[in-house]
Order: sequence, then C-alpha cells, then structure tokens
Amino acid sequence: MGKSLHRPDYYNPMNKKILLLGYGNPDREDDGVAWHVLKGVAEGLSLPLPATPDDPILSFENRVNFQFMLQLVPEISETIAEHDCVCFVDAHTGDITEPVRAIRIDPKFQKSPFTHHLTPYTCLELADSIYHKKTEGFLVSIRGFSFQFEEKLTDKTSQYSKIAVVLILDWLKTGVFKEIGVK
Amino acid sequence: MVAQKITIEPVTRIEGHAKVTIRMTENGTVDHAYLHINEFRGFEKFCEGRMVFEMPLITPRICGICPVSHHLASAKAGDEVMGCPPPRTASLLRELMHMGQVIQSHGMHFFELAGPDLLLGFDSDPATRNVIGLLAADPELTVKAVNLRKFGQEIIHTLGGRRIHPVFAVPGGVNKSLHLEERETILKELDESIRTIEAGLSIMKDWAEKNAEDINKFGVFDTGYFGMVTPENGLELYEGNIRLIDREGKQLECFDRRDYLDYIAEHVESWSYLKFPYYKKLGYPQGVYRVGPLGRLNIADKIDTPMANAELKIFKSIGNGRPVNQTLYYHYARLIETLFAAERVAVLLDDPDIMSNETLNTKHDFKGRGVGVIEAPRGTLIHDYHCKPNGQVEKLNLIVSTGHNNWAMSEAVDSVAKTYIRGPEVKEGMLNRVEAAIRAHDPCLSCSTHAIGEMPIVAEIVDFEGNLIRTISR
Repeated sequence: MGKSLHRPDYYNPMNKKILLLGYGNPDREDDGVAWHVLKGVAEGLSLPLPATPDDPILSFENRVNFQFMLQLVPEISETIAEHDCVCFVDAHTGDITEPVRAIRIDPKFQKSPFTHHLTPYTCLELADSIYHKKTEGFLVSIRGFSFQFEEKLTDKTSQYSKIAVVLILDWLKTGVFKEIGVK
Repeated sequence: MVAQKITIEPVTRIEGHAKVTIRMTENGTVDHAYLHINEFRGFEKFCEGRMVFEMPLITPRICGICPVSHHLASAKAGDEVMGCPPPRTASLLRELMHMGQVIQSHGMHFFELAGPDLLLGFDSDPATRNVIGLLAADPELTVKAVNLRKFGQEIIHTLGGRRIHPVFAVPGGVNKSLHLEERETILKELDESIRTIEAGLSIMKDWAEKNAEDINKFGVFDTGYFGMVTPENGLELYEGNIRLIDREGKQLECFDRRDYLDYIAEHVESWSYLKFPYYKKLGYPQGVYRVGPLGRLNIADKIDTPMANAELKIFKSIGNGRPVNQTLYYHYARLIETLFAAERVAVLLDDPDIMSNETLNTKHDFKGRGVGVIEAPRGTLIHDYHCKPNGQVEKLNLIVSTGHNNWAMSEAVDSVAKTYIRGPEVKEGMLNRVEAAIRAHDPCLSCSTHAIGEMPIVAEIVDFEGNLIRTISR
C-alpha cells in the first residue's frame, strides 16, 4: 500500500477504513480488468496514477487504501482484517451474465481442490477466523471476454470497467453500495 | 445397474482446465479412471521474437502459482545464451529467492490443501474439511502455517522488490544486492519457520503411523524417478545434473541438463492434451517417471543440511532399500524439502559472499542456445532457448513440472478410483480421495488467470448411452 494523501471529507462519508483489493493478471487481457478499475478509481479521486501494476496507489490518510495482486493469498487476510470494509475487484466469466456485478459477500470457505488460489469469500473467512475481524465484504466483478497474452482490455470489458469505476466512486462518495446482480 | 461414467470437472477458462472421468462397470465397480488435462501451449509462440533479456520478465506470466521458478529458469537459460555465467553472489541470491518460493509453495500446500484431509480425515464433513476446520481444530498451528507462507513470500519480495513481476534475475546475474538489515530480517523469522515445519513433520509422521493401511493402498505403483542432484547425489533444487533412477532405485542416467532431449521423449494419448514424458531408452510406458518432492527424495542419497538429512533417513527406511512408491508420501517428502529449504536459507545467509555487490557479469560471449533448469516446487522445470545473434528468441521449448508427472497423476487417479469407489452410491469421501490423488502431486493446473464465475467441481454420472443420471456438485 502507498503513502497517504489528505483528501476532502466528502469522500468516504462512512468514515470507515476501506480497502480496494483488485486481483488478476494484467498481462492476460480481460483478466487484468481489476487493475484498470483501480486506476480509474484513483483517477476519479484525483490521485497520482501508477504507471504499472507494481506501483502503489497513494491512499487518503489510510482511510481508502488500494492494493493490486496477481492472485489472492492467505496472508492478505491480515491486511483485510486491518480494514472495516474490503471491496474485491475481479473479472468474471461463465454463468455470470451481467456486464458488471456488484454484491455484498459474507465470510465463507470455498474449496479449491487442486489449486493454490483462494476466493474473496475464503479470504474474508480467514480474516474472521484467524484475526477475529468481521470485515464487511463487497465484490465488484466485470465481464471478461478474452484472456490471451495481451495487456489491453477488449473493447467491451474496457467499456464495462468504466461502469465499475463509477459504481465504486459513488459508493466512496455516498456510502451507498449499489448492488447489481445476484449472489 | 447400468454402466456409467462419472466426471469430475473443475471448469476453468483456459489452461487450468482438467477433468476426471471415471467409467464404471455395470456392477458398480470402476472400469477405468482418466485424468484429462487441457494444457495451454500458446505461450511458447508468444515468446518467439522476444529478446532473451526480456524472458525472465515475460515467463513468470505463465503462472500465478510459481512465477519465481519460471523467472529463475529463464534467467539461467539467458546466462547460457549470452555466455555470461553469473558471479557467485548472484547465484547465492537467486537460490535464496528460490528457497523462499519452495517454503511458501510447499507450506501452503501441506497446511492448506493437504493438511485438512490428513488432520480431519478424508471422510469428514466437507463443509469443515478445509483450512477453517483446521483452524478450529488447531488455531495456533494454522496461524503459524499462514506465517510460514508469509516468511517465504517475504524472502521473494525482499529480493524481487516488486509484487507482481519480480525484476531481479537477469542474464548474467541479478540486479540487486542484499542489504544487512534485509539479511537480519530474514534471519529473525527463520527459527519460528523451522519450528512450524517441524510441527508439520510431526503431524505427518503421526498420521502416517495411524493410517498405514490407507497409505499402502492409495495410489501405490512403481515408476522411475527424476530430478536434480548435487555432484555427490545429494538433494539439489537450484543447480546440478539430472539423475534418473529405475523402479528398483538403480541409477539409469546422470546427465547434463543441456542434453535432456537425448533422454526424454513425449508420448501422446488421445484422451489428454498434455503429453506424457518418458525415458527414451525404456520406451513408453515402461520409461515413465515421477518428479517433484517424492521423485527428488528418491533420487537423492543424502541431504546436505542436518535436520532434513535426519528426516531423509527415516523416509528412506520406508522404502526398505527401494524407492518410496506410495503417492501419499509426497506430503512427507514435501515437508522434508521445506525443512531443507529453511535450513538452506541459513546456510546461504551465512555465506560471506552473499553480501557482496558483485552481482552481475557484464561480459558476454554469445552462445545462441541456453538451457535453464530448476527444481520448481512441483518438479523439474526446463527452459530451452535458441536465439539469433542479436539475442532475439527464435525457438523455445518449455517442459513444465506438472507435465513430467502426467502419467503418474493419471495412474494415481485410476488406482485410487478402483480401490475406493464402490457403486452404486458414490459417496463424497470417495471422490475426495480421487481428488487427493491429484492433490498429492501438487499439480499446477491452475493458470495465471482466475476470474470468478467458475463452476465448482462437478461430478456427472452418465450411463453407457450418454444419459445424465446424476450430478454431484462440490
């Protein structure tokens, strides 16, 4: 996470410590949409823009923090537990038909039988179980269409990512999280 | 009861796609079980035309699970292509980063993927047969397990500097030296990490003692074993020759990594996209072998760190002079390697050369071809580059660890399915054992992309006419 900047009070009226946690592979086209969304939110908040996914995004007095990862890992639960709210940002495919889905999520272990990757639900559960912190969870996901070795988003996903940016900015400004789609 | 087919299919998007099909007979026993893997091979094409010095940055993108292994194997291949062997300090630092990768990957696998089966039982409630259930059963251990992974990850971050794409190893060395305070920080956490690994070993051995019957019928079969060794045939994860032993433990070959194509060929089966490597002289399937922790400990005569070597002696006693061939002992071997990696961190940090600033060899003597091999957590990883005189990659061959184990994973799935599945009712615990047979090998089936919306594991039972009889959703 980056250094802190002072911002006007009208952001984050919830007065909660918020983590925007994007994850995905920015080198695999739409899989990296979360990186673009985080950058869009930073831009919307007039924050200095990071040049690469490795560069930190400066936060507001540590009240709204940004983090981007290639994949979710168990130790991120410690960071989650340091926040009141976490908003995961990812791509989605398959059965989820909405261009953008925004839902509240609860702690719940989800099995990943063969792989090392974790889900947002599991990370929340780990934060609760290990650090006894019930961090409020949100998940904003954007429909992805292509996952080849490219750094750019497809046109559709790029368009949808802007909707996600507006949705997150509205939440940060008003404190109201507009849910879209079903859990 | 009609003949039926059960399919276990974690539906992912691209190269992470794998599926288990269990074809049953009319009397409810298993006829045959298959593991199908859709491997994505587009990456080699993607790399053609890139400059060799870019490759250590590009190849980690293949995989979100073990990017460090690709990063280092690629840099090693680049050393050879450019004819610029790294200074000793650079090799020590690269190996240190590699040990961090082994600790974090093996630690996560044992405590978070395999541990729940062992500690809570294959047949325990799937709702709690996971790391959360483990936490309830032993909260202190679970927190330590998370910290163990974090320790390995911190070593990588300390050296790599960046979270997503490490910018560390380059052809000819590394671009960062180790600072004194970084060395001290790593050392401070080491003892606690070793204690956690010892706790894991204690759990594993206790479980093995109580579950000997299961271990001795769960995916037990003979193969050859393959991996890197020190010049004295000790366990080696970073740099060495490749040793291949037969089913009885007799050495078949010990060869220079550059010559791997003289010894390995790949067989194709119609039911899997992933090829099946085998030892050429014995042919397929007689020449199939296993890699990864079980393979490496079977080919090693010793380990050059004391605590891991003591464990190796116990491990070797299981085989009673022959290689250990029980699939579930992959877990024990994995923990012994984790202990070795932690001990090796101390050895590396105690080496006075590791603090030197001589980290890069800038003199080049272009060779054109380079083969970088590393023992990734899952097994031997080979990067083979052919480059034009300007350093542009003309052709490359990547053999990933999971590929070597393809036959063994399929065999384990078949063997476990035949041993444990008894129809007509297929219970969850039976399918969990089939999954555990794959899990033991810690395959890298997951890819570097992982968007949500994936289906859970689905087992489909289909009759001999293709009609869906039942769906088991996990």
